[in-house]
Amino acid sequence: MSAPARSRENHRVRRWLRALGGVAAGITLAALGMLAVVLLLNAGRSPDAGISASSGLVSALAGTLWLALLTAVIAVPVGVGAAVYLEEYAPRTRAWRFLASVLTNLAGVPPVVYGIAGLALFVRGMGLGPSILAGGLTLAVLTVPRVVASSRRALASVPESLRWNALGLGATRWQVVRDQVLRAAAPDIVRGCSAALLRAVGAAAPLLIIGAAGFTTFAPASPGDPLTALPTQTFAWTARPQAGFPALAAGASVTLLFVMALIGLVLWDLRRRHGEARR
Amino acid sequence: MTAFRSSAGAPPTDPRERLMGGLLLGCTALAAAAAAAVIGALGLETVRFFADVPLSQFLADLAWTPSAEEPGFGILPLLAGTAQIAGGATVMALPVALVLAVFLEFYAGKRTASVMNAAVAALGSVPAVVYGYFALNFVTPALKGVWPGLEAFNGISACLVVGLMILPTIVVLSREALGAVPRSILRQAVALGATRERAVLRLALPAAWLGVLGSVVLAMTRAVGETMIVTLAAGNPTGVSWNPLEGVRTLTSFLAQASMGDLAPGSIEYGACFAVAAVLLLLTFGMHALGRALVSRGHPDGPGGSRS
Amino acid sequence: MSARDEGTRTAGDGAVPVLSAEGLTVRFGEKTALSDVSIEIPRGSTVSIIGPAGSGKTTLLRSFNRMNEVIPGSSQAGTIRFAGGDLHSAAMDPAEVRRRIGMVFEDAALFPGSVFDNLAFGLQARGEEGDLHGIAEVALQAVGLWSEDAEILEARASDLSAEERRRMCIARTLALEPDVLLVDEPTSTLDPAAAARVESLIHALRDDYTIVFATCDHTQAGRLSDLTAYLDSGRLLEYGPTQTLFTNPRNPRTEFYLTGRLQ
Repeated sequence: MSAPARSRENHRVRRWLRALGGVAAGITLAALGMLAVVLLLNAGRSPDAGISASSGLVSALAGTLWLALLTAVIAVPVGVGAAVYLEEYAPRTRAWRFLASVLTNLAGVPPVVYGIAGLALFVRGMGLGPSILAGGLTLAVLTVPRVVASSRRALASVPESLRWNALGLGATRWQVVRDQVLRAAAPDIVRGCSAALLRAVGAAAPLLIIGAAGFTTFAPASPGDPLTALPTQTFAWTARPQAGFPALAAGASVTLLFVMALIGLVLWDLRRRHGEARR
Repeated sequence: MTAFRSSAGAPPTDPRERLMGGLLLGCTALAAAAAAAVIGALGLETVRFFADVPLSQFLADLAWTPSAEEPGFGILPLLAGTAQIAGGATVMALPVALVLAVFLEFYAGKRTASVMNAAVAALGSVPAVVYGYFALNFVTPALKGVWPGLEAFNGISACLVVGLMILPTIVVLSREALGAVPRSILRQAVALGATRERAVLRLALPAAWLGVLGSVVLAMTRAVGETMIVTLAAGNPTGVSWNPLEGVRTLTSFLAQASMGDLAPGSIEYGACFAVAAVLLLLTFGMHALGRALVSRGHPDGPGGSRS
Repeated sequence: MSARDEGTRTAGDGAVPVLSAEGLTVRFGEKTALSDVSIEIPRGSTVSIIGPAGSGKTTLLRSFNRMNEVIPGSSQAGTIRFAGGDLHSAAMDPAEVRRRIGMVFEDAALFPGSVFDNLAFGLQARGEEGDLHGIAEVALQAVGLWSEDAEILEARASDLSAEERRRMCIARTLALEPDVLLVDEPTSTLDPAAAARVESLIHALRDDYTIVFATCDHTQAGRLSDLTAYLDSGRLLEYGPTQTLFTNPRNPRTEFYLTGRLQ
């Protein structure tokens, strides 16, 4: 092939690549757009606000906030603490590496499996029944491996020389971890924790399995109250074919997305400020 | 992994050091206990189940109907359903995701890239149940316009929407793999007279292919575990059908529809759910380990990488 | 054998050793990084460690402030004495050892934050409650980074030039007022002019500190050090007054290395 021919050929390849990229981007944006339009259109057809409130949207919202709180309070410290121990403290023996890999790979196990374990452990085993607390514990147990996995990755990407330099200045192990390693890894750790937390907030399957109520007319006021949450409410309404329910389900979906966006925004702000403090 | 452990093995004497070491060890113990409890709870019921149902029946039966009068306990139909959904979703997501990853990493302008990043992140954070709603109330009716013979609960709609859900996983992780290819290699290639296209297609993609493969495995792991979309869009048929216009039942959608809260503990149906959950655990655990191993081979910094 | 005996004898002439190693062997897993090294560092002297890449220069430096033991899989035999005491005895806190025998690493990672944050870290780790700014000022003056407006304290460490970073990392260690200063490759990755300036900084610090530095530039060793140790494949082949070692090496391998001849 002559040089000009090859150049024409490459020009064509580049045009094709750009065109394909544009199509892929278009498909992605179109899907996202349709999702938004479908949700908003259907939610807009909600019978009226009074009915959605009385049919459980408010209690589901309260339940979701409770679950988010329980999960964050339990899973984040335990998960980050375990990741710090595994990366920074544990000796590199086979047993510790095995534990680290089990905890990390449990992050790939789907929520529905944790729901079944939660049913056996918390609802039946500990006798908590299908309560907010049982739901929160189940979500926490499924979130811990995700937090461990992402935090371990964040800690592992901190350069080793940072630890050496800090140790070389006479700092103790914990001083090195607290003042240098955690500070350097903080943005990635927060990013991983928020992703894990948002996944937990949006999870319906485990809560359905441990027995989330389809209808609760009063908002849960304590962790012992019956389990209800926006994702399970969305599911219950989606699964009902009768008129009016698709609109209710869309309303619950939009509320859920709104809550998640709000939580995400708070965590994003936290990350931003950490990122600034870091530099 | 680092260990500050001295070869002398002397424990720290400072009380605060010991307190923090103890607290962190306590967190690890809690996490390990939770993991052990999950695995133990599933294992215990599964072992009980296999006392009643021989393993050979579990592996060889061609029907999964634990509540029927003459119950069938064959896992194969559920595995077939899971394979259909995960495979179909991957086939639909992969081309779009891969092209998008290459485009965003090497071609897109700054603004396009930031808009697309936000869009991909948004797709990645939509809860499965909302996707399920979308599949049932929009995708299926829309597809019905194309194939009037489409059933209300069908595999194709679930595959499409699960594919949409796993798309961000492939895009984000493949981009990371492509981004980990040193730019100096590409510049070198261009300096030696290769065109940029050649450098991208012949150098960057092959260099990153393990990472890309890992991203696909991790995306499939998510598809295998996906519950709500399949439950809402693909129905709960007891038979096996390879026709994408008909319903599909997977490992996960069986569990979601077993209304386990009402099942008596100790009953055979109850045990069957745990056996299915144990299969899912093993399957996704292994796939996740494989996917992560592939992804981290493209990243010298990842756990198990080159740190001393 | 001779090399070690000669080394110890030469260095021992008339000065009190502040640091000494005896029969030091360091292994990382299966790999032996140092074997049977004995060396004395006289108080107040400047000692250079030269040798080919991978000869164990950094490992020897790190042995002196117990930094090898943080590497998983490392093991060590032999003794190191510091100011008369065993460096690895139970009474020696490794953190305290690292404060008194300060090390500037070749891969000198900047701590996130400002120059002040970088200087304050070691002091705070020590539990220093005094005037951190004052100590930082003295240390920055010593390395020539101080300016009257104290602006440098608030500068982000990552905004400094390569030379300023190197100076700051030296100041970070000086702030702890160590007895001994270990410097690994003081001028690597610096351009020639900056390297010359950092070298003259080390030269100026010779009056106040016992300095041990490793370098792959043996002309630098010739310019800066009183004593020079030649390491090869983890063995200390020759140790003595720099002048003697450069003009009249006893070991043929030292001569080969210094003259750049192939063996």
